[in-house]
Amino acid sequence: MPAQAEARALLKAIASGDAKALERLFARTETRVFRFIMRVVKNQAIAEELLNEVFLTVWQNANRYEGRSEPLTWMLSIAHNKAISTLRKKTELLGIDEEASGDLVAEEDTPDIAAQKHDKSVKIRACIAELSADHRTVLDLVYYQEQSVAEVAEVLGIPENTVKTRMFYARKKLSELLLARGMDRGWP
Amino acid sequence: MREERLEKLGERDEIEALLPWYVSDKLDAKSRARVERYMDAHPEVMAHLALAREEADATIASNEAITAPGRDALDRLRASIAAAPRRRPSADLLTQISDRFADWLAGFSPPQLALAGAVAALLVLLQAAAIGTLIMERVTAPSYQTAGGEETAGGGYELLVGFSPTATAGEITELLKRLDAVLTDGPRAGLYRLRFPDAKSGDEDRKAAIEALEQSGMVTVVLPGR
Repeated sequence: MPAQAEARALLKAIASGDAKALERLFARTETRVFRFIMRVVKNQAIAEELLNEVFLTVWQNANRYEGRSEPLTWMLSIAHNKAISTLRKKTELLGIDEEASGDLVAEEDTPDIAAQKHDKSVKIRACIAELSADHRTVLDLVYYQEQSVAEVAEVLGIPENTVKTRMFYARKKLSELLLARGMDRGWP
Repeated sequence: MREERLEKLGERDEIEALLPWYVSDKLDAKSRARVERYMDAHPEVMAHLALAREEADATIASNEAITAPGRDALDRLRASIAAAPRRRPSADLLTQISDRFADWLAGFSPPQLALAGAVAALLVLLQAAAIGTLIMERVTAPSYQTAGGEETAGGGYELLVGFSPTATAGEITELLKRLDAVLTDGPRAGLYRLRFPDAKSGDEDRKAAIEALEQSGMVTVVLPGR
């Protein structure tokens, strides 16, 4: 059975109260969902707590899953809502605007990575880490989570045209950051 | 992000925006054909596929560098579901609510019932009062001004929403901020009126808002407004 069809069958079983089905769904998807949350909240303990909340929500709301979207898309949507909500609370509490402080979300350079700064891939990774959470998230959803335009729209709760526009500006910003590091991509 | 919604991309920029989905093989047939037609006519765009592939490799590497959750994650989930109530399968909303209420009441002795009933009524009142504060805050805020500064009911559209009893005022505030929505009235028959003043009145925006509300886990029902 293909992965998504299997996930749909598991959700149906979860809706009827099958806790083992929830465990199987957890085993198949926890890493993807966890990484998606981690990329937003940047904190292992918070991400683990939110991961637990996401699957608890799946357990409690599986009977409301109508099959209009793929199970992973539905779960990423729940994860996004929880991660953004947590990030906003953190921002309000600490007075830090994550969107405006790229340095705070940049991946920390290990000595090894620092030594490889000339490497193109490492530079791109570093610049992606400097993008705003909104821009980084749209890249993650497409390139890593393999979501279509319509699915990204569903996860983020925005129209499809906004998804495309956000992707355009995310890539444009990435090119600008790379140019500032001496890497001219020739676009835009 | 509001400026992104307002600014419409030209054809070349839109093709550039679609390249990530093209390299990920996640475009529908129509869009894929459109990208290919454009690249046939503008071969220089072909070179930009390599840029999208570089971005894909870097993004995948960044994600895969994140260590998996701890080994106790599954144990923690088991403990959480053992402690948490579940929705009843395939029951309508009113049945679910009444069943849950009946289950809850069944756990009390008669003297406790009067107190429990009073507590339940108080919780509903407290949530309504908290949400009522949001309505007053939003109504007094100058959020419906045109470029000329005149107050107007404006464009957009409205939806009627019932909030989950477990949703806090803070969570509802964050949801409204994220959706660029304001509470304008309620509760009437348990429903609040939600306005999306900056949204276009088209079906796509409205559908996206309804789906976002339904998936927030904070609403029990969403109905069309005006």
